[in-house]
Amino acid sequence: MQVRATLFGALVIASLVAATPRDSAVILNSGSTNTVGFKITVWSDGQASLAQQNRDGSAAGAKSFTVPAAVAARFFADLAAARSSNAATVPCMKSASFGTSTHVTWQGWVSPDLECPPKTSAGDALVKDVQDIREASGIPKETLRQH
Amino acid sequence: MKPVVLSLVAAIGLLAIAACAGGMQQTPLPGVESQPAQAPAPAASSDASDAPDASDGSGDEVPISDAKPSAHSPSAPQSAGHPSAPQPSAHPSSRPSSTRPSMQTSFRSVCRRSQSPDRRECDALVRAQPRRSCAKTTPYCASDIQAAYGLTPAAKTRGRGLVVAIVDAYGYPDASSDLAVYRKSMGLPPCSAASGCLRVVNERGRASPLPKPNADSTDDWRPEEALDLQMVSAVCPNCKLLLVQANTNKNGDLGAGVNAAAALGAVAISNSYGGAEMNAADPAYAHRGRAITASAGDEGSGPRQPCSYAGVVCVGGTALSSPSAGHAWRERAWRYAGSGCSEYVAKPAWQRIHGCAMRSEPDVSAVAEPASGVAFYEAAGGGWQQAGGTSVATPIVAGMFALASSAARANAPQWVWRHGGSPSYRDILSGGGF
Repeated sequence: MQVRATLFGALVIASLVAATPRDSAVILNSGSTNTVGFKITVWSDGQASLAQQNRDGSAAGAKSFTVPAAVAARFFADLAAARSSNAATVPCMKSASFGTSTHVTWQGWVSPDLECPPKTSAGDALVKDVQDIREASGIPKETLRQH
Repeated sequence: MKPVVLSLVAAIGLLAIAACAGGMQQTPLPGVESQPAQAPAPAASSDASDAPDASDGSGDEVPISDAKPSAHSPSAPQSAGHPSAPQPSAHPSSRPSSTRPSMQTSFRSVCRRSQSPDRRECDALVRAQPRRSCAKTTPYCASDIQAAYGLTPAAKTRGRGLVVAIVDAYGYPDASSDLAVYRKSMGLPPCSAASGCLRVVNERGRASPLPKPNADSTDDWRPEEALDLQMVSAVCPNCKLLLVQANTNKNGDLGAGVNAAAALGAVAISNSYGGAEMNAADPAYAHRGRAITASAGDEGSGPRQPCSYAGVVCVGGTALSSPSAGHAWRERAWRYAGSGCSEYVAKPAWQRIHGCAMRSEPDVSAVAEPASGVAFYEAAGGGWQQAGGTSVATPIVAGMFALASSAARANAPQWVWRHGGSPSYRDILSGGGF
């Protein structure tokens, strides 16, 4: 009887977890004249997808990958902190032909350009998360564009 | 509204003046002051040998207006990117007998995997292409750039001892070794720190400490620094190079770098970067007597700083086509090249153009279209690479100013506009359309 109740309870919990909508965020890098941009969609369970895109809109590659659970959890926590603290970055200059911009969109909030130096520790944390996720995706930091 | 781009390519080299003129269909050309262009001169043209040598850094070369560029008719203005005079046959003969970069066509990983858990892995990919030689049309080699802009004779004899500065952000430890590979491959004379030709300093003008590369970020400036050094080398092989590395890409750090470059005697200062307009002036970008160039950007319409500052020669981009079947070198506007009307900077008196109530940009343009591109070498990025954008055009124009006279550098943006329209400029009326 006790075993049956335990199994039933576990089933209920599993059902509730499965029913919880996955949170997601999108990291968008603009690319540049000489580098390919990318879009990474990250779900709270660590699943992620990558799409690389040339400036003319043509696809430059796509795949699914997994972000380590700890990184994903930290990323969403840092997003919440950055949004609540209204994390900002310092105005900065970009290389004219290699420079890119990177923004994270999450629950309607759009981060500042993470290629400029953050003003706050919350911004620093977000920059670090994005670097970790990009590395998990396996794409290079400077994917040269096919001209 | 799409800006119409009017470009001219100038005398000693061909600065292509591109004026933003929102909605304009025609733009009057500024007054013609330069000497008529002549037929292409031999490789060691006397036009430059007659010039005072500037090897001590204080003398002047022959004024641009006295130069004899190799490309253009004295009688007919150029239009639509098709110079009316036959282009010189100098292109093939001007190529150095050098080996040339292997270019790349498919992505391949170039970095060793890190064995240390506390180190990030380099995951750079490069394109692998069959080996090419400079006999191929593109990407353009140093000799192509010289030939396209009529610089071949001047590049051999002018600029000696003059300092051209490149201001960028973050460190680039391979600057010297990468530059050595490029210059050797392109048949250019060596330029090393040991010989005093290359100097690398921080934003305070000191040799140490130099900033570290921003290698862990997607904002890695090393390719930009490599490209800048090598494009100046291509145009002005006899110039000394001063690489100023700002601590970060913050506006203040880069501005400090420009001040350091001026304090260290640079006659031309190249800035292949930019950002959103925020103010009407920045004293860091106002050093009279030094030609300060900045990129108009690769995003099409929209003004940028430092490009829009009145003391800066704002450099846009063109698509350059090599000579073929009866055509000389041809240029048209590059569709992504930046242009715009400033929202902060008043219209300078010397900028005679309709369409912008404020300062318009760019002032001048040069090769930027990436599909043809230029070759440059950066070991950390995989070796030989191909690049485009106004990051290419900006150091090229800075190098041209080093080949020019001190009069040209005295108030460089004004000089460009005053001499625009000379037959020795290439007038570009086609292309664009971002």
